Amino acid sequence: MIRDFNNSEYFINRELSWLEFNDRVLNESIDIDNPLFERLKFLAIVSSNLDEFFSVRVASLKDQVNAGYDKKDPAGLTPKRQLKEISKRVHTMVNEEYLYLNRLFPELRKNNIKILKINEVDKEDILYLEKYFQREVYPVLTPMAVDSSRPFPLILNKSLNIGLLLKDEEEEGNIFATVQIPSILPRLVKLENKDDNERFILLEDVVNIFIDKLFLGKNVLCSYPYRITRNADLTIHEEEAEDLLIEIEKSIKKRKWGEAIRLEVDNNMDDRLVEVLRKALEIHRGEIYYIDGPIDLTFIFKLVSKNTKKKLTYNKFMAHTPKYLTKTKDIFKEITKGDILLHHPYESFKPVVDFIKKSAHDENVLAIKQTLYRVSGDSPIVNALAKAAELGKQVTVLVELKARFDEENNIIWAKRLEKAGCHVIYGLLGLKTHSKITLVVRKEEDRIKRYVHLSTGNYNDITAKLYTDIGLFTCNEYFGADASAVFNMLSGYSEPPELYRFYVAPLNLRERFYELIENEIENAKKGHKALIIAKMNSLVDPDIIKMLYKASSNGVRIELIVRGICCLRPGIKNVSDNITVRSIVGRFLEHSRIYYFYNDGREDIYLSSADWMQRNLNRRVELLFPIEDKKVKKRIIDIFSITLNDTVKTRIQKTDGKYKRFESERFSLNSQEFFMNSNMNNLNDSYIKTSYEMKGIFNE
Amino acid sequence: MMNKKDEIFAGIDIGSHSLKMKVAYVNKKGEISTLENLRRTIPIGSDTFSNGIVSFETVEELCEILKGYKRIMEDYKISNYRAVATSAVREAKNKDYIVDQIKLKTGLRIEVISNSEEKFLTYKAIREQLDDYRRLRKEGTLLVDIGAGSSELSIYNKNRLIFSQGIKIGSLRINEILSEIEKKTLDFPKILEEFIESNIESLKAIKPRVKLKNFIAIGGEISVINNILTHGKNESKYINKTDFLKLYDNILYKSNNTLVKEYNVPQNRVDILLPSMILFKKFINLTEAEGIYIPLISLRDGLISDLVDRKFNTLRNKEFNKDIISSTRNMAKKYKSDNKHIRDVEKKSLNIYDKLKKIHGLGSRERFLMQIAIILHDIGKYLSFINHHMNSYNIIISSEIIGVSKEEMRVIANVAKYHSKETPSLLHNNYGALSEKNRIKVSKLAAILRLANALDRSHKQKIKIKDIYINNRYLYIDTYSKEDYLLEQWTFKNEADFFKQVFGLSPILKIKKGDLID
Repeated sequence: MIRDFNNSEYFINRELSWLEFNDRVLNESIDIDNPLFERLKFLAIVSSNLDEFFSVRVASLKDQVNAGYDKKDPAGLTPKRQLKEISKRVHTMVNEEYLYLNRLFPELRKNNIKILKINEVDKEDILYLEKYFQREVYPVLTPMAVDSSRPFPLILNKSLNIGLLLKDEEEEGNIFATVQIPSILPRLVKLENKDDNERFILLEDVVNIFIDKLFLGKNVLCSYPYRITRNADLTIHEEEAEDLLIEIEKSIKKRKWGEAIRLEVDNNMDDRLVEVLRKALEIHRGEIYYIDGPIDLTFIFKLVSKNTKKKLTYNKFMAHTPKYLTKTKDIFKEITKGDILLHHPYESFKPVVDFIKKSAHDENVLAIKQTLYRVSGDSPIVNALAKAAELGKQVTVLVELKARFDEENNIIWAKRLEKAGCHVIYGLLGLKTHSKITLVVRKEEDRIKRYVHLSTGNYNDITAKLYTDIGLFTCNEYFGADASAVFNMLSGYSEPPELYRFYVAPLNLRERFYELIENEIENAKKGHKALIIAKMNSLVDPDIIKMLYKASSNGVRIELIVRGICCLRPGIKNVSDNITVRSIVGRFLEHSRIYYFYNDGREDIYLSSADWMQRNLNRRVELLFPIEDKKVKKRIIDIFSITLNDTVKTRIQKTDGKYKRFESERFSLNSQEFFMNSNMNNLNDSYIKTSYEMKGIFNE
Repeated sequence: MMNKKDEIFAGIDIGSHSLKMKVAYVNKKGEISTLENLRRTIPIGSDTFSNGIVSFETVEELCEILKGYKRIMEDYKISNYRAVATSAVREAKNKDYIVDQIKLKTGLRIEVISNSEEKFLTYKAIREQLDDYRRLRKEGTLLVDIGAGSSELSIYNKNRLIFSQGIKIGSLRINEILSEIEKKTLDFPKILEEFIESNIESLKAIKPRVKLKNFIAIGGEISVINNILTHGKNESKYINKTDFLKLYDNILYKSNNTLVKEYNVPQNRVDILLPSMILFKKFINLTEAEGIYIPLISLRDGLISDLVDRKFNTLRNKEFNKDIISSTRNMAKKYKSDNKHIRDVEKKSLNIYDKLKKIHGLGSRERFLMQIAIILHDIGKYLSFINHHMNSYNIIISSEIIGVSKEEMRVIANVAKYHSKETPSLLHNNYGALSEKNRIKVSKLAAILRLANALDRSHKQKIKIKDIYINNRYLYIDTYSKEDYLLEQWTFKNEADFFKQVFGLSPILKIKKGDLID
């Protein structure tokens, strides 16, 4: 019987699933095992995540509604309905967020850090603050009042403001006025230490204290902070909301730029004030969020980074570099001995930088080719590439300018690379190059040898300290030939050739996944063991999900480790009851994409730059490559078995799309901590003991 | 051949549908390994074949991609490359513009090559593909190259190419001729077989009677056939005759649809699969071979092999030159030329050529062209003794010799034309149309040929050369003869003028009566 799994009940809406992810981040802030600063940081992350979510995802959904587009998503929700559900979910989330925040502030005080409320400042503070206000703040403030002659001013997107009501002396009623809290000044104003306490006050509170000075001769009835989020940012729209944009392009083009889509107001804000804002901004009641605390928590990042109280942050952790890589002078020789796997951030990113540096100076190296997607500010990778070109190497760099956030930054260093003599290419039209690959061509005794580095993460030394990724060095000839071919394709010199080992999106990567899943289905039908384990950031693609349902209903066991969005609904009888979905949210951002297929005991393992999302499989240049070296394969299986046995940071997705803690009485394992503390290259007895005790998926 | 350095070569093929490049590493032993293989579709041919010229836009696009190829060559620090263009550029009216634009914009030198050069170069790659290539050449082998419109047969025996013949049937052509009939019969395959049989019949009569132990197939749908037999793995380079025939019987009456579905035959190949298979079947039946060798080669493979040959001056290079000479001799034989005369003139000319090396400044390729001209100089006599030099010219200019370019053929034809009566003149169209460089070449080679030809004017090989030397603006040729040499002496005197004009040396013939004693 051929079943199609096109039932909307089988899918979870991606926005709501993303919100569940943000909720898991939020829950890290109440985990008492996390140090205080880290808990606060998780709150700030939740806050900035929501900002982006609104200005990208919600904004695009609003566009759809405005355009009258009402096609349902795979989960059967119209854009309008999605906005409604989002509003409901976010309201609960924000309430929880501030509930937790208000529990953490007292903790902070116990640790001698005080963020003072207005009513807590003493006379000395007032004197100090008055000076500060007069000298630094007042000159940059622009108070604006609204009356019949002056229209409602344009409130800057995502700026923090104070809204106030003034008593109208001439007529009956009140005048609305607003003032923007200047973003050029620090949000946290430091006060003098008292009784060993570090003391701060928020800038908006300072302004509020002296608000009368801005409206001399007027009677200020009330004043409260607020913030609006607008649908305005074009560049961001392109990156994360491609799927929605494509949909909307098909319908009428009627976007309302600059429209407000979220209003955050202080919990205590006067209702009259709220009404003024609501009417002026033409915003629905459901889009107003009452905030029980400071609006926009990103100031916490500053607070935390300024402070050096060690016990309040994670223990310092030094990435490990495998001994044979620190000792060796010849990385090429080491790669020749066998493929090298690096598990970041547990293992250092330095060998990757060193590899480029070494290639720049090695007299036998002819050419270096690399794809760059997002790099750090003063990137050592960029420096090494520039150096190589200056030393006369042929350097080709594929720069993806369309990478989010740092477009301008990208152009600057792309120019720098060009100046140094690199050949900089900008990728294929309409396709973002997301694959992460480096090729070094070296002339050796009686042969030309190609060294390849492939990774699941970007060539970014900063994120390599925070994201979990897997990188692979190899000189496998097939990989070398494929790497050359991929670069020729990306440069536009050649059509995609037949590749030996790689699969490339959007050409055949999706089809390869179908084949691999189909193969497990065939094996399951024969009554053989069939198992798929897949780890990725997001699982959205409906066709892949349907394939997984087909596999599950044919008896293939499927273990998914999906950090973020997961539109698959596990545990539906006869559809997905063989599928388990886990998510790990912890100290490091889970980022590696690993795909495992049992294949009758052959155990095929692939790494990829791609998630199971339409945008990765259809609109990006992505790579999927197999792991062939036996040792490396064994290590990835070890990594998987540790990850799958995590009981501390793992959350299990329930059929309703919510997540629950792992219920396990037998032992406790935090996989990220385990990886930090153990040297996986050199597994010791305790590890083996642990793995013995674990009822591993592989041992059944 | 030994002690050469390893090197990286690039071969670029500007074809009708696509632009291709191969980069290969060649180690000290001359073994080739591929580093890069690029291919970009670009419709040069459709421009040429429909409008007669390649459009400006296409040339621009071509240059853009070639710039990229140049960059890859720089990656590997390649200085030794061959970039060739085939029919699409060759037949374009703006050929010179294209070549010039490419040179200007990319710095790449493009050679426009003839059909026969293309084949010759392509075949060069066979050795890399077939491990027992050496044995095949010795044993007696039929090589069949099936194109869309025509096919080429070559026979090797005792290490030589002994026969080479083009025939005007190809897989696509057969299909087009017979497509009308297809609808009118239920037994189309039988008609196909009969049609092909009738076309091949005449070949049986002219092909050399040697035992053909091996069969090599190139082109046609041989790769598709191999694909079917190896279930898509395509790794094997040999197909058993029994497997081939079994497949043949299997598909003979299958519909195109079934072939696509069951055998994964590409849709665009399915129509010509059957004609191809029948052709291969007929040809293999001309041999005693038990299977088909299938070297999967391309022009760019051949370009690399050619670069290797030039650098390493490999055995294969000598073999290929030998092949050209032996197929040229076959041509002379076909036109009933006097072989003894040819051999005599050949020997004397080459002797003079080598002695004059410092004077004429030409290389081994020109020596080789002269040799071909000598072998063919008298073939016009087959048509008529009157104006036979002109006849020779006409026959040569309309012939193809595998491995010789059109330009070189023109040089050869001119040298042959000026072997007797007339001397080169800009007033002659055939001569005036040559490049200056080639005009000089023709004059020099013809002057040598004429002198040597004079020494065997009677076609009786009466004069033997003892020594040749240069002294004070004179070229002395010391000879001896047992017989009366008045005719030769007189002819030689007549030729001396032209020789002096060309080389600035007066040839002096010294003849001693009798046998050489030392």
